[in-house]
Amino acid sequence: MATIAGERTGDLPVWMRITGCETRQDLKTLLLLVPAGVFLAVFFIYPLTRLFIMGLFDPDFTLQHYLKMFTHPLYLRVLWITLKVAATVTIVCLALGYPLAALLSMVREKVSSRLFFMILIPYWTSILIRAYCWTVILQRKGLVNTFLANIGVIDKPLHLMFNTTGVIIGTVHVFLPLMIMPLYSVMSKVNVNLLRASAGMGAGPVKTFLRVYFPLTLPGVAGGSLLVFILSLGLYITPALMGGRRDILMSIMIEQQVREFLNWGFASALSFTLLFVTLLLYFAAVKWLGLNLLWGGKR
Amino acid sequence: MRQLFRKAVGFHLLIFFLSCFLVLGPICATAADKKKGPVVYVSYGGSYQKVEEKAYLEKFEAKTGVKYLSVSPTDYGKLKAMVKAEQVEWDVVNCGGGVPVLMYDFLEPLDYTVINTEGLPKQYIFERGVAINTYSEVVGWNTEAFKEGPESWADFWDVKKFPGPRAMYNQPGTNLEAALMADGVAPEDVYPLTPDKVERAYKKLDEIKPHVKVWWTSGAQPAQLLADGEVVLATAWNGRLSNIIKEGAPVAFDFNPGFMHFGCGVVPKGTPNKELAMQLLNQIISAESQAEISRLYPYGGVNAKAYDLLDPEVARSLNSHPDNLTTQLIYDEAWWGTPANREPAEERWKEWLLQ
Repeated sequence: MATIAGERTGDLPVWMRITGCETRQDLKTLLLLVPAGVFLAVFFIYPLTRLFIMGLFDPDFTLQHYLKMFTHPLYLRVLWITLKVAATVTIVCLALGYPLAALLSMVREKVSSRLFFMILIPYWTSILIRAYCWTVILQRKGLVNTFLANIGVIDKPLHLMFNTTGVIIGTVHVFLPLMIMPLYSVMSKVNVNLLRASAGMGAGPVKTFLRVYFPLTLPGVAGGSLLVFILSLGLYITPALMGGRRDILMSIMIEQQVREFLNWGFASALSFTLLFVTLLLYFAAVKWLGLNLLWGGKR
Repeated sequence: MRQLFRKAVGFHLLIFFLSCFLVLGPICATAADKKKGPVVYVSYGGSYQKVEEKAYLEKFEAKTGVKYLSVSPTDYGKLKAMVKAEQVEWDVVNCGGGVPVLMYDFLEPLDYTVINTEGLPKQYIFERGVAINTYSEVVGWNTEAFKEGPESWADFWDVKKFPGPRAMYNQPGTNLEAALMADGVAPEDVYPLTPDKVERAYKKLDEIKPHVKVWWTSGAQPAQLLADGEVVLATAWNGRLSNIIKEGAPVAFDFNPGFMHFGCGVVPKGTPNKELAMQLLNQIISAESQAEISRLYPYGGVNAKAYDLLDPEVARSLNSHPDNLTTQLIYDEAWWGTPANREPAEERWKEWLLQ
């Protein structure tokens, strides 16, 4: 096994073998990660661990919080609603974002940079302000309804606000850029010659798309979808402001437990349930959708 | 290669130490300043808190020379976290409904040698809190929809007489009581809320549910919804409604029907400005400040002596004026504040909303 300094693998010290370093180069790369690792350990892993412990020790070991989460019909119902809303948002974002990302990857730099600008500006605006702006647009006497009524398309106002429709619209608006970015990064690397080769061999545009283009963009689809889904699971402001009585999501329950009831053990159980769902989906995406290709992993 | 590596490590160490300074520096600085104030007052924000600043905080600063910091909103979760971490940044906190029973262990007992409670009825004085304001939940209506508004909870439920979407407070408290009164229960028989009364209330609420468009969670919402014409009837805090009416919105309300609430001032345990906090509370419940608040916002104070300082015109418009009090029900803060009552009630409420 050739290494830079000429050492044989068997001569490497134990700790180098454990961390998977094979060469001095690997070791140096690993050391560069230490500051980030320490930061994550102190400000992420440690608080997360303490929060997890809060859910299991209250103060003595107890499974009551997790039991309540999984046996009380209200919380299971809320979890189901949360998963449904997140899935809907993801699908809508995919439907809207895929063509847009493909367009971005195919136009000239000048055009694409302007389009990027238009996508990112709303992303940089505060979520709270956007929710209130949507209220003005979607409410009973808002922009959309007044316009449609004036041109005679409708005679009763559409219910676009304070219900699940409103939540979906608001949340898609928030997360669409996050769907577009991973898709774009994968699409821009697709070798156009492959598409030409497919056409050259007699495949029509639909077949080329289904058999060549789409499979190549799958890691981007997986990455964007996973990102949007996970973030939608936890979004609080948009559902709270734009939702109706049936739009009670996990984030709203967690907020109430933390702020009003000070029942932090139960809030921890609710939060970690969401985290476990997220981790399950993540590993599924890596295994079946090749998610790790997105950052240069190997199949 | 080695050169590059050393540069990279050096760079990372530099960033690390720079960020330490940026983070720790301000923390050390604020820790030092704490002894001289400023005193931090926490409330619910918006138009009401601006008025509180004028009536309580500016007068306090004028008298003692201590600067104040007005912060919002009141957040029990934050308070608990602060006290547990022994990093308390709040000095006096306005807690919306009664003394928060949940927070008891995280509050300082009040120093009544500093806080002068002359003029306050006994029911407003507690070991770890003192009532500092009263406010009412009333029914507001959009004047473009109705000239005359509902005069009872039964009217609120009457969709023939008052057709249109409504907005109601998103919590069981006050809604259960309103439903009972709409169903014919006399106000004096509403409390205590026994299980059969609760069932009766939910049956009545089922009638109004399809007509409630928005279940509001923050004080500014119902006033804005009424002003926009999004809803035609809404339960709301009378102060927020008065404010939006003053700004010219087509909204009106009266105190029939209504609920009378009081809010408490508390001091978080372990605040470094404990003496200043007690002095501020003393200022807040003084006749002078209570009268000032009533002049700026139609919330009657807690201090009976404040009425001596008020214009009879102004006094008449207050929610706590005897004439206005006759049509209101005094909300049972103690029952609703107890977690053993509140938590199952909230769960039932959410299940009802989801049906």
